[in-house]
Amino acid sequence: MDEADAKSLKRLFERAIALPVAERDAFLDEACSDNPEVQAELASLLAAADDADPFFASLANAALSLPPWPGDQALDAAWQADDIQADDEPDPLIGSSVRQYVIHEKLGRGGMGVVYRAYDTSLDRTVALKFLPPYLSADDSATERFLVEARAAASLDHPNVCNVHEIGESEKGERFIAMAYYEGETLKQKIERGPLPIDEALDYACQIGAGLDAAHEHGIIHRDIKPGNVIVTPDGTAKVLDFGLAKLADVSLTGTGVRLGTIGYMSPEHVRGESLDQRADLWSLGVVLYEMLTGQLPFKGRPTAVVVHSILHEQPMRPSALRDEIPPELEAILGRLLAKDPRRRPANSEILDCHVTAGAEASAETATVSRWSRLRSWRGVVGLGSLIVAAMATWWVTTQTGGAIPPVEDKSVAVLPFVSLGEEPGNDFFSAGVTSEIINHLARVGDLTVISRTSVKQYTDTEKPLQQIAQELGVATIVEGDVLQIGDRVRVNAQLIRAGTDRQLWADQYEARVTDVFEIQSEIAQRIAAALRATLSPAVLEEIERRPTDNLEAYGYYLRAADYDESGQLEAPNRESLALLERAIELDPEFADAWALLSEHHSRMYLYYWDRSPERLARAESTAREAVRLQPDLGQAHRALGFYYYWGLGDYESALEHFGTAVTRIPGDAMLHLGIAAVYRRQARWSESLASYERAVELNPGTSQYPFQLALTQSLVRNYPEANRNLDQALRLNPDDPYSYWQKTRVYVLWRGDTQAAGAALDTLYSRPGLGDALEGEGGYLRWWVLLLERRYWDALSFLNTSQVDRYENQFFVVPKAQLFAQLYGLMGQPDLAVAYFDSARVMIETALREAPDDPRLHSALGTAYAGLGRRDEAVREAELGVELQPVESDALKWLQRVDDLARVYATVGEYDAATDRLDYLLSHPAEISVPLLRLDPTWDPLRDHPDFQALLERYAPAE
Amino acid sequence: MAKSGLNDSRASTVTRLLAEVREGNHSAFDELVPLVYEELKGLAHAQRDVWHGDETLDTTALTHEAYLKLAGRAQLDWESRAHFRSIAARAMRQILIDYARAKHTQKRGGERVRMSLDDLEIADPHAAPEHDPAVAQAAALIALDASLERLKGRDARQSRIVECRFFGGMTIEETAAAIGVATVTVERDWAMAKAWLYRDIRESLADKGGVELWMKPTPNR
Repeated sequence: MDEADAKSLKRLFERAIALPVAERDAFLDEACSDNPEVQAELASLLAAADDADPFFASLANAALSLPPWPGDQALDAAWQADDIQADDEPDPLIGSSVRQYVIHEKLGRGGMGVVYRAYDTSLDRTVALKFLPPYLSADDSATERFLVEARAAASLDHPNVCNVHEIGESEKGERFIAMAYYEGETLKQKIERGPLPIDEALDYACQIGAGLDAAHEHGIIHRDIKPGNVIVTPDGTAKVLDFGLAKLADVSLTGTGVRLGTIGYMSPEHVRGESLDQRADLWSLGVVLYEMLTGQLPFKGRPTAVVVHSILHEQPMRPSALRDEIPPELEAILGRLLAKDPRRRPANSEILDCHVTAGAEASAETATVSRWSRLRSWRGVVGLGSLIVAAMATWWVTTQTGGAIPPVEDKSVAVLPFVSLGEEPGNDFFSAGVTSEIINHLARVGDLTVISRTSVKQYTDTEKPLQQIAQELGVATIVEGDVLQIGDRVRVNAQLIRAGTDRQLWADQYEARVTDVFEIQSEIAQRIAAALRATLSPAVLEEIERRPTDNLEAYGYYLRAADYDESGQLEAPNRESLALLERAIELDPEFADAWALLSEHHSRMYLYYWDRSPERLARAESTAREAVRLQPDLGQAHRALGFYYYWGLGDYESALEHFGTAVTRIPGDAMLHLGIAAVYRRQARWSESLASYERAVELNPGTSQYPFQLALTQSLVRNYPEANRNLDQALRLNPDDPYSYWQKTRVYVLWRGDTQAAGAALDTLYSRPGLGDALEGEGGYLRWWVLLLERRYWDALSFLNTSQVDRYENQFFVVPKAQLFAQLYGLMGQPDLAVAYFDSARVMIETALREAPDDPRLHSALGTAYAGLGRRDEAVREAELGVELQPVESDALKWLQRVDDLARVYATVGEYDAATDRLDYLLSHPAEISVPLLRLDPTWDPLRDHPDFQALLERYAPAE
Repeated sequence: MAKSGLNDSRASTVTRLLAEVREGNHSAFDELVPLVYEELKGLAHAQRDVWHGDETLDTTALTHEAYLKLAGRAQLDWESRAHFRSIAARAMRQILIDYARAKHTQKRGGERVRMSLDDLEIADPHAAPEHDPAVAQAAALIALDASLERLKGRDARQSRIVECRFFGGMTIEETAAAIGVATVTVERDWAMAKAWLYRDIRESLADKGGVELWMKPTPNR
């Protein structure tokens, strides 16, 4: 087995071990189909893994049972004997008096001493007297210090805290505690008879919680909550005993705070001997509740080492697996109380939802009934309550027969921006990086639909309910989390939630050095994929586990550059992020992702005519090739190469080839699907284009560019209602996107010939600051166009007079302003003026053609000018040349524009048959032309009486 | 509290070596192990509580004390403490295996013994009362030690993780800090190493019908 095999073995082991046993074989079959050696090894290891834990527990036991030192056996025996003797000893205290107390009987004996029932002769009442073990009576400062706390606890006045009368000292110097004597039995005795009714268990938990909360408010921690320390009186009131004693004992016994207490109820931090706060008590409360409900401890076993191992490292058996009437909400509460990390635990018992005052003064019956029914009513309720539950849930060990959580059918997920918890500068950037990298990883997984980064950015620090977010993004599940960076360490919490039910599917916390953040990101991505039951091929796993760079500073520049809206069409931010990427590459010349992104920025510079130099194009290519050289498998590198071929060279076949390679690596990458869809559109592969655009929008529904591009294609295939809907969506996402208004204007005309709505859309565009200016070079044409269709020639003239440019131009057309004047004067019955302006247009275009003799746009424009000048043959020749120079396979969109121009020229020069032929073609194919438009456009007035033209209008009239 | 000059110089040695461990110098690690071994052995002897069966293999308090004694008052950061604990884990492994060998030798008279699969299965004293559980348990630990050496040859990181987790009682986070990998890596390697070790121990015992272990007296250190 070579190194690569060993590596993939580790990855696959990790994946497989997380799966239910029943699903592992299928996973192995799928994941290692190409490597039987790895598969066999994996199967064998997985089989061993199930037995390994008990084996190691027994080994720990073996280590512990070794006598501490050869020759220490004598000491051992003495220790044992000591223990046994204690119980057989006749008790000389019974019948005697200690101060004002007459001792009647021994009630019990615990780690904290012996308890007697006694009679207080001065106050005429029965009390419980607890004598502390002799070692606690030693008069040293540490004991004194903690007696202070015990006294503070004694002063607590709460119905659920045992009432302590005094902490005193006998005539012989023995310390004792005099407390209220309660009839009843301990919770321990109750549990020994079997699990309690759920109502009752919850009631006791609430009462214990209330007592704990009261103590915690005074800074008193119990440290030894267990059923034996809770007395339930006949009226159902729970009284918590022995506050503050556990620590007293700890310190006195060992001097170091080594733990004492009852191991099964101890929190992980207690077991580890760390300092405790009130959340340790909440853990213990969780254990007690678990035990009341199921009749067994969540962490159990023999000997102690096994329990300790279990407390520290294992998840308890799912409570509902032991008792199926336990509702998920209650499981969630237990899970929260039993969080290994105290920071994940609640700070008080409020989550038990004990709104009804627990205790003697409230009727126990009503309290429990209402509480229980409230708990039950949480099921299916969408609201704050269930959200809290979702956030609280943890995971449980389930029986081997199946997963606890039914598989997710809809594998769509949105990763919300991780909340930045740190104060340090850079923490925000860090959490943004974590979010974006997890998204990138998940985008590599074919089965998943992962919402892209630009779409989730809007939910940074959002207050919106998860359900609403899920609905807006069209996903079934949501990932949320937080990031805390302190110095060179980082902690990441993440959870996956099914939006419909608010059920938590997975959650975990990670802590590592900052430099290991990539591993955390890849780990989280893998866990999410696993929780969604998505299949990860070994290649994908490899890619997910790859560190993009070892240089965190370079990575920082890269992330900031990636933050540039990928749909962006503005020059300044593109140049900025280009500079950032160059910095990143300077720091790490092997940073393939940065090379790839840099290439796309160069290509974009070229595409949008910001820099059309051959050097720019060469850089776009060389940077993409460098990315491929460094990481031949990197999806982003092939995506960059694809865009270079598409944007830079217009070489669709090569572009699709590289996009195709990329799509096998990053199938969930929205930008990639946008590129593929655009290429298909240029190739007139309309249905494929539509499908790709729809996929792109699904992956990135929150960025205006995506629904906008889809709407463009839908306009071409005359699905105007959908186009309009997507444009509205684009404008909701970005009300300042001039092109969405542009297209909306056109759609209103094409759809219903509604020039009024079209004009209104334009008015909105021009009412927004800066938008009209942004479109100055081409938008003026649109305003003229709508006024022309409305036959408001005077208005159109005055508009042209206010417009500052002398020609309108984009990648599809070049129109000198003179030509627009000319058309208007022609229509207004002023042929002399029209000819004069057409001639100005001709001169301007001929001048431009000397610079770019093969520009099809210019040849079409020249044809139009000649037609206006009545130069019939030249007009037809130029317009036909425009079509020839732009063959359909070079760019279907531009070709369609040239055919449209040609049809106009034919109509103008009186070639009616040729004109209707072209119109017939355009109407029968996807194109931005429609019957409602033809009815309005004065260009076609010469054809209106032509029977073929009328037939066209009838044939292609939209169905009502 | 006054400290002797000797202690001070030892503390500075330990501090320096720990700093080198942090820099990735592995020979510094090896140099520290015997120092820590001696200290831990003494402490383990004195603090018998730690070894009592009712407690655990949690060596936190023990290593903490060893650390205080060795490193003195030097305030080291969290990571260096984690490194220290990983060194203590190695020392603890040696101490325990020494105990186990001593135990085994004591019962079997210092002979070459064959350990069988049965020995292993009865490592749990409750499982097979007719065997001497002490011998079986000692044998199981010795087998673990041998298997851990084999694992080290295949995947040194996994074997260190087992040392930290099992013998050092270190948390995932501490182990991650000591070894210098992410917690997720520790979790994965820990799970996989346990499976591998279990299988290896079983196989080595089953295939050969028992594995030969040379039982020698507690090494004189």
